Amino acid sequence: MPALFEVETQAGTPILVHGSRLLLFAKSLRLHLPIGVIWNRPVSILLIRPDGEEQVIPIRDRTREIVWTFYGAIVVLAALTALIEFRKRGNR
Amino acid sequence: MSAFEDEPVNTDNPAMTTYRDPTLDTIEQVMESLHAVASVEAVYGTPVKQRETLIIPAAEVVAISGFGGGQGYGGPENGAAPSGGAGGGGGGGGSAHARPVAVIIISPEGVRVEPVFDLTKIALAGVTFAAFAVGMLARMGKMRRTFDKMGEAIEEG
Repeated sequence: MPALFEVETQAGTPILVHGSRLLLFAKSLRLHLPIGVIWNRPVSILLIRPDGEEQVIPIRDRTREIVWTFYGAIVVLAALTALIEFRKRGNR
Repeated sequence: MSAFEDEPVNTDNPAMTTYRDPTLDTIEQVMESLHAVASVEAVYGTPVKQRETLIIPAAEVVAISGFGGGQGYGGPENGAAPSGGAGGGGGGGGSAHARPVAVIIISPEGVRVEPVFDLTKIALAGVTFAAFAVGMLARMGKMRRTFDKMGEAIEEG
């Protein structure tokens, strides 16, 4: 029986540019539900300079970060409101 | 040619003789093409060279797919080939969408990643947050007034 989900990091074909080698990495999440769901996103770049020095450059999804910050703020606000109301009722 | 005129696919057990509906092949092909979105090539676009600069777009890809199928035949159950007719069918659907995440710029000066902001998504989340905050504040104000009235009623009565 296949796993419910599968996470895989894949590397793309190396790109040679300005003497440096560039490797692009992507992470995919596959859900094996009655319906198939695949979520694939870029994660990082591995830059190998001509002198052999390696540098990993992460690719951050700023849109997702901002959107989830808003959603997180909603959850925090809801929790705070519930707490305040609960305390008020207790005082009365 | 009808789907039912295909050659039957024989298995080791003659009683398990089934017909392979071409629809199922089509569904499998669609599924395979949807699974191609799990590759690195689906996330990173074709590099674009502009003088000394190489630009690679990067996107998030989400694909959802599902399918189902069935087949059956009527006929004797003693292992003989079906004679009463056979039928099969299948269907499937899927959706895939991509959202730009960043642009990788490679120049002689170095490599940098420029984020791509989806303003529509951000604005929608912001509006949702604002509406929720306003709703919560209004509710808290209303509750405060209710509690004040209750307190006054208790003091009077």
